[in-house]
Amino acid sequence: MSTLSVTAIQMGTVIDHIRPHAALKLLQLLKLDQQGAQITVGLNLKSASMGRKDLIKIEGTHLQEKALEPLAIFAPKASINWIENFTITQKFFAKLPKTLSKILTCPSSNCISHQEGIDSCFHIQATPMATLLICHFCERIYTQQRMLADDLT
Amino acid sequence: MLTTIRSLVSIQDLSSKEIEEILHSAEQMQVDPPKDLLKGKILASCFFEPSTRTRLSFESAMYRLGGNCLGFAESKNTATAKGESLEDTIRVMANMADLIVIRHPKEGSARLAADVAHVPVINAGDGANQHPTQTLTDLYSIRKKQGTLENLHIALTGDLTFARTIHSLAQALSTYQPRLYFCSEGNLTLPEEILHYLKQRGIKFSFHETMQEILPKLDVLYLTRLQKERFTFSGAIKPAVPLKSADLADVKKTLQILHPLPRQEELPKEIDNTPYANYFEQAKNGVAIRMALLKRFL
Repeated sequence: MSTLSVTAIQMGTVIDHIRPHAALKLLQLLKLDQQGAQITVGLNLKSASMGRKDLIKIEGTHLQEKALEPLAIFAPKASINWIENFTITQKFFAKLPKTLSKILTCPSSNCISHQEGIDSCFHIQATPMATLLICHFCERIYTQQRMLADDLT
Repeated sequence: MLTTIRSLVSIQDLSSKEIEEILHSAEQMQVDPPKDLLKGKILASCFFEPSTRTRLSFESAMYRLGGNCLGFAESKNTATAKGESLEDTIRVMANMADLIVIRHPKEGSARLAADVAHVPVINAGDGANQHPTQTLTDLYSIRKKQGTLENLHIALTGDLTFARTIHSLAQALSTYQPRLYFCSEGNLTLPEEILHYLKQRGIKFSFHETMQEILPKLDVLYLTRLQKERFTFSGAIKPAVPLKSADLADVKKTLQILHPLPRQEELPKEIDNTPYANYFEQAKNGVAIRMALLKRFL
């Protein structure tokens, strides 16, 4: 099995090939910084395949696919690598979920989801042009760029 | 939280086949409504926003089918005034009735109600989002007058941003391959999700400064008022040129003028006496549609 060239952790998860400037927003979105694990973030690193990339290392835990579903929407090319004894033991990509709940806030100020304090819910629709997020309640449609651009968590 | 009870929140909740069935049922209801069909059933009318036609036509429909109604026409005399959440209000109302009809100023409110109620919920208008029962009334009225819903030239005018009737109707009409013309005032543009919906379905549409320039092409002219109570911006809107009888000199003989009402300056009283005015008949058709819906959902 191969090892990552950029850095080495003994055991944990590396989210690699994140597009530049997105890692900090993803960290916030996935609430990875609130789980107590040691986290290292690489920004604007050189990448043979992407030119430049961001990277997130989370030590001591193998993050499950379910917890990383937002990656499929906001960083679809990002790879998720489980590390054991400094070696990649599993590599996979997040699958696009059908819905995404609790993580995002609907940008529409008149959406009932703000008033009632209920969990947000978006239906996910993949199109050739963009991945769309449709608010379950008010039916407004947003692109993943729009949701990532606003501070919506 | 989500229930499996069938509700009507968005016009997209209905398939084309279901829409046809409801329109057909409304035809039958208009001729001979079964007077005891809903005997013993109760409709809860939860109107957090003002309404004349929608609320009263639901209540009329229910009484005509032998059922009963309870509820409220404004929330200030309910526990909402004490800070009760919508979710709690709906859970309580669902214990008292067999079906809930809700109108609320917040978008998504009807969807929330449908998610938490253990009885069917019908959306009577949620903010600027949807008004599916008005859309069914509009479709019924158009087909009744035009003989078909297919391939019509239809103008949707007035407040494209906040008029939920336009949003629901544009979506519903897309099944029938219309040619749509949109006329709006100032910055009142069509929401992105409606544009996306129409483009996905290959519907031909165009935008126009004034309705007068397109009148001769139309089968249906659908007017709406400015929804000032929903405006989220300050500043004046350039008023539209109101329709005048003289504008109708070169229109098709079969032109049908519709308006969900209430009207303001966009539809002056002088139009009432033209052979094209169909909006009061449209309002009357609303009772038959609501009878068909109550039969379907109860």
